[in-house]
Amino acid sequence: MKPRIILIEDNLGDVGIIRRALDRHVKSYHLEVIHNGSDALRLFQSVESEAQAMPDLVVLDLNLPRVPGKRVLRYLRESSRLCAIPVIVATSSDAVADRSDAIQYHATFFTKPSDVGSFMKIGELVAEKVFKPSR
Amino acid sequence: MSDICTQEPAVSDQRHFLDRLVHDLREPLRTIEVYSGLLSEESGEQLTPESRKSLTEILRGASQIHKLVDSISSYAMALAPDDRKSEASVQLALRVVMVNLKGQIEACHAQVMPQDPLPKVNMSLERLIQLLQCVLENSLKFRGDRPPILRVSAERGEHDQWVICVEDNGLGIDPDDVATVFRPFERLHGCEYPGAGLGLTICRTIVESHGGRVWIDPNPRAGTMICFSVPGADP
Repeated sequence: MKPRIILIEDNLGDVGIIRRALDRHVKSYHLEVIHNGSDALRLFQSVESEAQAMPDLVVLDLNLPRVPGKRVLRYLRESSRLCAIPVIVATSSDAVADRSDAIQYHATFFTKPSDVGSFMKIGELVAEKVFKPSR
Repeated sequence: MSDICTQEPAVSDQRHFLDRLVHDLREPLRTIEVYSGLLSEESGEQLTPESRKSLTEILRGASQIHKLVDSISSYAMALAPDDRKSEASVQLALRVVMVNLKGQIEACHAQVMPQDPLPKVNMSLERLIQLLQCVLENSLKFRGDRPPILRVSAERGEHDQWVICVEDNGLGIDPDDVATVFRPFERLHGCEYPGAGLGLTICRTIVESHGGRVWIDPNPRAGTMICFSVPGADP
């Protein structure tokens, strides 16, 4: 079965780049894109109530419209049903505070780079989490 | 009640505005850089020489904006309150700056000659590093034909301040331009030298927020001598 990946990202350019990275490294996957934090919370609530299938991985931007990414991450980690979903925080920020928040909530931190080779590495990270889960 | 439109925006508002601007510029800039990279990687061989040249120009322009955004980010940092003020060693800060600028120093065979000892000043080490790095980068950039020699010295100033000077043997600054170089985005040499024209503005912002001042002294050995006064750590 194809892994179900949720990408929460408001920047359409970044959505396209991440899609290309997944095409290169994950090949077969099912991607759902959500563009703001409140829609993300709504989706996770419906996963919690078993109205939707459990995702295999979440890729989360921090700077999101309506509800910030950090609140979405906290929601996931505080839910007994959702807390084990692997999360990759993919953000423009390289702030120490953002990195330590991600570590505190057991998420992998990825600073979006400006060169294509480094950006494509997010595909490798996703493949690693989806096909060789460590938790 | 005063009219809000006539008030100077608070420094914290300016900083918030700049932080937001930097973030919102970095996103589309990254999109341009990454997609240009993808285009070159995936279709580079199919492009005509003219198209390849166009792509190079797009990437060159993006790289210029990148440097500008980094400079604005550095200026926003200079505006932030220095809430970790302590005894910062000029000697240690200079050592860190020399490591940060190692590539530039080695590329032009520059020599940095600090006076021994150098004092401690009352500001955060982080801000002192930012300040010294801007001054040294300025000297390295406007270096002329000879390998740069940068002398860093300190002497007691007024009101328990220290005056730190960086003297170079570079291009020098015309006395008529001395006031101009501290203004934001002023680039006396146009596009001939890279940079946003914010380096010395950042220096002035840091120094003035610590109650000091920055100036350019005529240098008897030719070149430029940038001096700034900052509060001493041992009044």
